[in-house]
Amino acid sequence: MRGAQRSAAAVLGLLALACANDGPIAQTSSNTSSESVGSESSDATTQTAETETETETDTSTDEGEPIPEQIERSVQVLLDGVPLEGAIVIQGGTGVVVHTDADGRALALIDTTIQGALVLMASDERARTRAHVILVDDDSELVFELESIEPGDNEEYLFNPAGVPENMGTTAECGHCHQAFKDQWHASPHRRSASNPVVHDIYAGVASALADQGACEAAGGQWWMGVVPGSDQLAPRCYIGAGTLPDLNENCGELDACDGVATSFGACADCHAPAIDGVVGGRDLHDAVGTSFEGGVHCDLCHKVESIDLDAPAGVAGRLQLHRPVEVSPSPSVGPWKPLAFGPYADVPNPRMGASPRKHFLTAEFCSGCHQHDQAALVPGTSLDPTRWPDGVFPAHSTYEEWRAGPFFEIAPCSSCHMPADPSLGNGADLTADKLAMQGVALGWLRPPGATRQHTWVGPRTPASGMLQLAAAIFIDKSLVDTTLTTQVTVRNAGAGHAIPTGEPLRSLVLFVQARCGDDVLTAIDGDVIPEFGGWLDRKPSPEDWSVWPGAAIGDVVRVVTVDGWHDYEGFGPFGDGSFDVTQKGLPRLRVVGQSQVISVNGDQVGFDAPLPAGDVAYRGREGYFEAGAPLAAAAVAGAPGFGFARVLADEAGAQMVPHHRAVDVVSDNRIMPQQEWTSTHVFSASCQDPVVDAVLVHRAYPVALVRERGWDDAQQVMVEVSK
Amino acid sequence: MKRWAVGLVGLGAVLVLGSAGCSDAGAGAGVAGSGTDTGTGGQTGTETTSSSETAADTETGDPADLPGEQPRPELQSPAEAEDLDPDPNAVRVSLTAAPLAFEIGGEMVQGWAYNGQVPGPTIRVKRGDTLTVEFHNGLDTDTTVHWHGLRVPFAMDGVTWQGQAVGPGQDFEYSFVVDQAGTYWYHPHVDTDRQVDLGLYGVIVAEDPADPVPDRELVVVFDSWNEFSFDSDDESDHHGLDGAVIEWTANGLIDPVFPAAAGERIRVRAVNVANAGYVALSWPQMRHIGGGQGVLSDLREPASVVLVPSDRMDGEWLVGDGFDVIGLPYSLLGAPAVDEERRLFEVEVDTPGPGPAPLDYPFDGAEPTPDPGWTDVLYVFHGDPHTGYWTINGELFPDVTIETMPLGEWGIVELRNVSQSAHPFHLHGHAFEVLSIDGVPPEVRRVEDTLDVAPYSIVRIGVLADNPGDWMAHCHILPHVDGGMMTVLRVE
Repeated sequence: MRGAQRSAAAVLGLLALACANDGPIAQTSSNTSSESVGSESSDATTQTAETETETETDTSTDEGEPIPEQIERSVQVLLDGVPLEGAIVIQGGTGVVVHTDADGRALALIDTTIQGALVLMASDERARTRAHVILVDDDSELVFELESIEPGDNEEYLFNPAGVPENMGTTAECGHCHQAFKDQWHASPHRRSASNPVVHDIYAGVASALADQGACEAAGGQWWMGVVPGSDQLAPRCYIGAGTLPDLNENCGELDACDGVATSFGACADCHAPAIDGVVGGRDLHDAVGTSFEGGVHCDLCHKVESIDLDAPAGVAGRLQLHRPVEVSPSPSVGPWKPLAFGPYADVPNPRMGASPRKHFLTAEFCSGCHQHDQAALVPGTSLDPTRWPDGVFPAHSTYEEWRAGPFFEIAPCSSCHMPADPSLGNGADLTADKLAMQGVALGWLRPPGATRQHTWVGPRTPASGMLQLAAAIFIDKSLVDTTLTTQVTVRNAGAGHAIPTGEPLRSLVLFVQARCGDDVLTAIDGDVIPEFGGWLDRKPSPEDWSVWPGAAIGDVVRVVTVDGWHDYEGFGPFGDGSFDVTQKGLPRLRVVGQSQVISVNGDQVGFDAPLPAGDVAYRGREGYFEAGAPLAAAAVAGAPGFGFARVLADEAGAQMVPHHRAVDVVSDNRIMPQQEWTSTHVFSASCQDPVVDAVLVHRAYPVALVRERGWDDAQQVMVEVSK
Repeated sequence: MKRWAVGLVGLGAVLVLGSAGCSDAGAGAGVAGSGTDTGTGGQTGTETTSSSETAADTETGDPADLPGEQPRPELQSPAEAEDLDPDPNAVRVSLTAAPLAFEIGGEMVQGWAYNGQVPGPTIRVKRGDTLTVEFHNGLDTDTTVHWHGLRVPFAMDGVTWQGQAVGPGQDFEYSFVVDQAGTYWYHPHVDTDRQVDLGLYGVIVAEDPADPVPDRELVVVFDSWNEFSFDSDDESDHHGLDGAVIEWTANGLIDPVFPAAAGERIRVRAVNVANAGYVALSWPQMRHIGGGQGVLSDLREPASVVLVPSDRMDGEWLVGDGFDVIGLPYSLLGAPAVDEERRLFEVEVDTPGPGPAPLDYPFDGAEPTPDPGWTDVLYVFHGDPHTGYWTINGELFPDVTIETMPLGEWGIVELRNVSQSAHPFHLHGHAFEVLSIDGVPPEVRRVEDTLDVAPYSIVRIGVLADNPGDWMAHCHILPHVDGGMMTVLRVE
């Protein structure tokens, strides 16, 4: 039975137990601090506190005599010596809260039947949470003396590392006590935000996959000395194509690398490496070394976010207001600064963390700190079209606003989907069933199911999570009239609370559609096609010579389409609120004409397996999803039967699907908003009475051209595949 | 039971109140009436006996487990409703919903009850019978009776979508043919979270003449109480899911004793009527013979069976020695939880002996229907315990998009859960076949009316849309229904 009588309750100070493997301490407190659990009151009438030693205390009034299942305690909460009204008083392990009155007083009901330590805590946003162990035979008033957290952000503070999997580390690492969180975070995209080689390739204008001079120069790159990301080392690297540093800094990038020379950094580090020690904001991504590089967005960074300023730009020193502690540590053993961590709970009194509650941790606004990025024209000499972007910024990343505009606003914040609950843990300190009786100040309290949330941030970059498969659905309707098969394929954003795709605008969704009679693939004779952002190797409008395709290879496919006006759609922002007309929405309506495959190459002249039909534009590409046997690498498939969804950014020269630091316009944005759908039509010539339609939707992380230029391992992911 | 079900009128203080954030010593599960084997009953609430009065044996069990060292109560099936119709192919019962003060865990609570007992009277029919229920609303508010799991005509379904509730003091006659066999239950479908919580539920046993006859049956209704129910705006919010169960009752009793004799073959019909709690049942040599829609396609012998809210299971006990029926810690996350096991009740055998041979239940071993791959109707679940809102396809009931399935056609419904809570999906008016769970088809044909959709999973079901109407489709975690997680599937 639950709630066994506490006839001789063993109240253990568990700090020593939970932190038995203390190693060298960087900045955390020792396990002998007495300030939090114990009362510091000098008032003789207040209860003597437990210290944080492994001491067993008999809380019964008499050995063997059951104590009441519920007792009362009068408490007073002071803030800097002044009675604090509205402070939270909470018993660990119960979730029951009372608030103090104008005199700072409250009457707390203590459930003595809980397992683990009997502890009352007082909490307020202005202070670190503190605790008193309850002695059942001492009914004197408990006084909590909270101290205001000193304001200001301390640039001298050094962020604590999270630790690494399969190594308990020391108390200098958050993961020493939060091992499950550490492991989850370590496998998450947040951990890789600063070390992601793709980010660094775009930042420096590098193709790190081109690792030798020959390959680099053959691809048109420059083999220059530059910074090895995550270090202060220089090494020869392949500089090629667009890059934040060469694009934003006019004094470099032509004859040598911008690394170490550039002065304009594009605020990349404000979100990608937000935990660079020292001054926050405006830092060079190359400043990220050590924890700030390996850890990316890590524990001590997020839990130093004191508040959110929605009016400020994305990143630290902007929307994410950091507060690194300025109070000097009370003891050299706890490091130079007094521990401070912000989090969602009011009942965390562990002095190693110095916890103070903040509600923003489970709000979408917290995530907006980096997942909402409105951007001005950054490349010198460029500007936005004020008729399209009157505020002087365009939405580069708009996941937060997409959510706000959708049906899940005020219903399901980001963490509802992206931080799954973890029923295997009783709390964030890895409390498990065999340790229930040990819950207390150090090991934390048993929280109800759902309270312990995985720090995984599941999404497209965690394929095993299946989030992409949950996000989209395909519905197929078809009709056959004589030998003409007409099919409507509807793609619905069924599962995501934001647009699909979202986030990084290099992403796109590509829908492939085919029809077949048995194994015989039918010829598409009309209907929608994959837009240009599906990728092409070469593009020739009519009336250019379509027999000449420099660089073509046998097996290439040339797809011919007609241009039939514009697609109208309901997209994000001005693409859906009536601001833009159909032409301003910028997505040409391309229709299938036909395609031929290259079967011979003679110089620039190519021979096809069938004559190319007449049309408006021809795209040279590669076999698509079906023809190539479900390839996972992105191919150039513009003009193939299907469709696509993307936010298409363009630079000053009109190049599309460019990295957002170069962009001056959003040419089109037909990404599918939450619970919205798009139906494309496809027509085939059928040779049977019961043709089958196949439809596959894939998620692309990067556009084909960029993948080819940088040599990235571009793993497309199938979101949904349906045949009917 | 949660915070609305209050009103203590006495105090026995047997049950240790949990430490959750609500003080809801509510109603919802009282002491069952007697009459396990008689087949008739209709005892009134004023005749229900307290735990101490029904205790049969105080000499067994671990004294440390005795709540307050009181004699442990005896578990009996709820009293059955009296059949008022002499026609052997028809069953007519009288059912009245009215307030009732009853005892739970030693505390007297003000709840509601059918025919003065909680659980309500068990209605026993056989497949093919016409069941007529003369219902009287003795409450001061609207109510209805929904026949959970039975394929009834839409007008008899007890919902107020395009229908009327039964007003205070009003009568309504429900009548339909029961063309199914198995264990079902009935409950209101108005203000369901509250009305079920207050005690309005009962069991329907639909016998199949093809089934072998056990020595006796035990109908046991599990209910949870003292759930966590945090206010999302409260600093006490531990960000958990509502409905984390603190205590379970079996026919209104905490940890009772069920006396049995060695050699008995007992069919136990278990129903989880909890608003939100999952109960993972476990006992030695479990023989799982029946589910939500009658006898299974094959015998299952798992270590435990999880009953989601509204779920049923039939088990076969081949009694040799006594054993404990255990509730394993399980959460609304659709997974084992961090907690302790608890004994739900004890099967007590005075003189152990060899267990009997099993009965020959008609397991047909049917193969599952292949999944054609496409989807006709898609329901996606979202929501969050902090906000208290739970949606299907981003919509909050009653502002929903009605999906339609053509009458007489087999359709594919896909269920996706993009939330951290599991959602037991219940479809009215139809049973459905499970085609796959996360892409894996069941080993044998599996037919349900309620199916748990675990967080982040995709479940595909096949529905033969053979019953015209606007059928409610919803999560059976009732606070989630309150939070909007209900829609309408039209069959026409």
